[in-house]
Amino acid sequence: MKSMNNQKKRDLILIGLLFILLGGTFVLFNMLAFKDDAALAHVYYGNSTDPIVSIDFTKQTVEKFYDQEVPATFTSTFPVIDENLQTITLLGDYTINGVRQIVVIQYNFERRSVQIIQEESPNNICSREGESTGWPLICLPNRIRVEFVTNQGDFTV
Amino acid sequence: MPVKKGILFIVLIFGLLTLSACKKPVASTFNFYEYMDTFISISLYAESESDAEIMKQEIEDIYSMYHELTNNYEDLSFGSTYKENIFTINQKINEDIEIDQELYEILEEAIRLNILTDGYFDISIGKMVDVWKDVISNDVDGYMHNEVPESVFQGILDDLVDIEVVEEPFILTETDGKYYVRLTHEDVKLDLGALSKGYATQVVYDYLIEKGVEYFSITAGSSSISIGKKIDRKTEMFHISLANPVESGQTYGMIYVQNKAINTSGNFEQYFLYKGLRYHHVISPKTKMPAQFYHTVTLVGEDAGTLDALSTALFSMNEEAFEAFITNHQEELNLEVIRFNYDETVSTYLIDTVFEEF
Amino acid sequence: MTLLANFLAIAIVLNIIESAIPVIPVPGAKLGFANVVTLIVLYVYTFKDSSILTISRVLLVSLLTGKLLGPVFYMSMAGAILAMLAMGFFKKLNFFGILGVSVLGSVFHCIGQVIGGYFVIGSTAIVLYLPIMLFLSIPAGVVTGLIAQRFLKIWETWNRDLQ
Repeated sequence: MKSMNNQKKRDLILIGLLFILLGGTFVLFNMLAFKDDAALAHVYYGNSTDPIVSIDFTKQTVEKFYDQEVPATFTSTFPVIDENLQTITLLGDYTINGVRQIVVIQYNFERRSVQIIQEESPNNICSREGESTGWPLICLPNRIRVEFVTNQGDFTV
Repeated sequence: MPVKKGILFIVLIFGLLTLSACKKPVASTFNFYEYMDTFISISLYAESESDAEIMKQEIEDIYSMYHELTNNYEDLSFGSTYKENIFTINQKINEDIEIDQELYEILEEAIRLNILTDGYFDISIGKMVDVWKDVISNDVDGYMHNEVPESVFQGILDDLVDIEVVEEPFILTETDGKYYVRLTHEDVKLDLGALSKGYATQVVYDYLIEKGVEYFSITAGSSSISIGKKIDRKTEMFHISLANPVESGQTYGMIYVQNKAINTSGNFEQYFLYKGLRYHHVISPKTKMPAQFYHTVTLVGEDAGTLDALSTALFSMNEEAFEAFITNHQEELNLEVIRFNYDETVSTYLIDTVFEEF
Repeated sequence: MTLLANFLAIAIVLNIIESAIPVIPVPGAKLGFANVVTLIVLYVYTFKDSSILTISRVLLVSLLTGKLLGPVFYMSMAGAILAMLAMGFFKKLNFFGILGVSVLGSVFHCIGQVIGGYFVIGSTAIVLYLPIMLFLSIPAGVVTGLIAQRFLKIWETWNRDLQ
């Protein structure tokens, strides 16, 4: 029984320590990370280390770098960039009945933000990440992610 | 007791009221999309909302005016109060054309800058620039950032042979309070693109200083910025990062500045490729071709208009001419330069601005 | 054997239920409640039994939900394996009680998921989610541990009664 009590004591100390340590890290992280204005946002698909689309908030432009490989059953090419609605539509990896589903990303030049507004995935979890101005948006089931580049500068020239 | 409490209460309320009336600077941002083919954004701290509103209107008037006057691809808009713009002037050779004072003054400045840069800055080479721009911006064949065939490149060279660089392309005169300009040769086509944005921005900058605005920034396109002081930062300096011309999306350094104009010329935005070299849109009046000496030239100085012209001119100078210019004019112009060379090294000619290379 | 099979069934059900709880901000991450069964089997049976059960659970769940070899599968598997190894190790160490082992298992489950996620998405961006995930894994681990603890108490009485 004594060993049990010792163990219980250690458990509580462990939990307390972890709480402080991880809690502290979490709080610090939230205070320091992603506080600068975004200069660019890169959209990545799959394992590629090169972006497929880049959004430049300073120049207010959106650039596509390559087209996705899509099955012949699709009539259009992806990605599709709509400058009026300020959206980028990609074909995700998540399938419903074997058919790949689209992922729609909304960008906003004024607010320098990006949001995933439409996609199919378990519980539509990707579109619940909200509007991001710095932290990466990761949609694992579709293998699409959006990462921001902050130059830590007020402007880039 | 209740009386004392009452007095205290009233004093408190009064105190709160006066404190709230204590003017906190009001932050305002204005964005203009329709002037000089570029995105203009001004952020400033004004005394009040109404002050900001007035300034917005006056700033817009400035950009609107220079946009109209320096417009070189279409006629004056219907009902315009101006006499001529660059487009209409370009239609008439060897004629004394009456123009508005503001346009006269910017043309005067262009002549001054032409002399200062020994001819490297020249607003009369519009025809030559068109030959290059037609290929760079060719949407049909998609040459932007891509390799062009030899026939196309040769076509450019052939077209250029017939176009002269004119010694005295235009003459300005003033009589009885009226202003005139005369184009002297049919190969002259005025293009104020390399000066108008900076010039107008300098007018706005002077206006803001005159109004007593201390904290502000003016960006005209991605290559030109004029700034006052930075609010919310102890040093009150702006942190401006420099775009890396060879690694898209990256930056290669940062400068810390306040109360300055900053301008960059580069070959990484609009260009086509031929035999591995970038043929961009900054055409040298000396060779009729875009120069291949540097990737970008960033200038920090006092006058946005001067910098606009200088960054164009310096971009076309070889190392020898470049260094000579700096030696001769750096002090008088309080000019500082950061240059990204073709071999990917960075050369700097600084006075007191701090530059941090990444 | 049938008891283990029952445990497996429970684990599968738990896993599917917890998939329905979105762990914002990382799509695909789980809180690790299904580890309750891993933990219980670890204490009642052997480490080997627990491992087999856990791996079977992950495989079966992905088969059932149709996500075999999908990105979520790799994250789950990585998380489950790391959690399993950690819990096995700390139990053997006999330094902590079941609560401690559970919390450590939860923390390593989380780390495992991030590692799995890194390989799936190919970018270190997922590491940025570590702080919040690690922080959340503590209460998750405590809850899992308490449930397991309670269950084990009942199990002991039940076993004694059977004797």
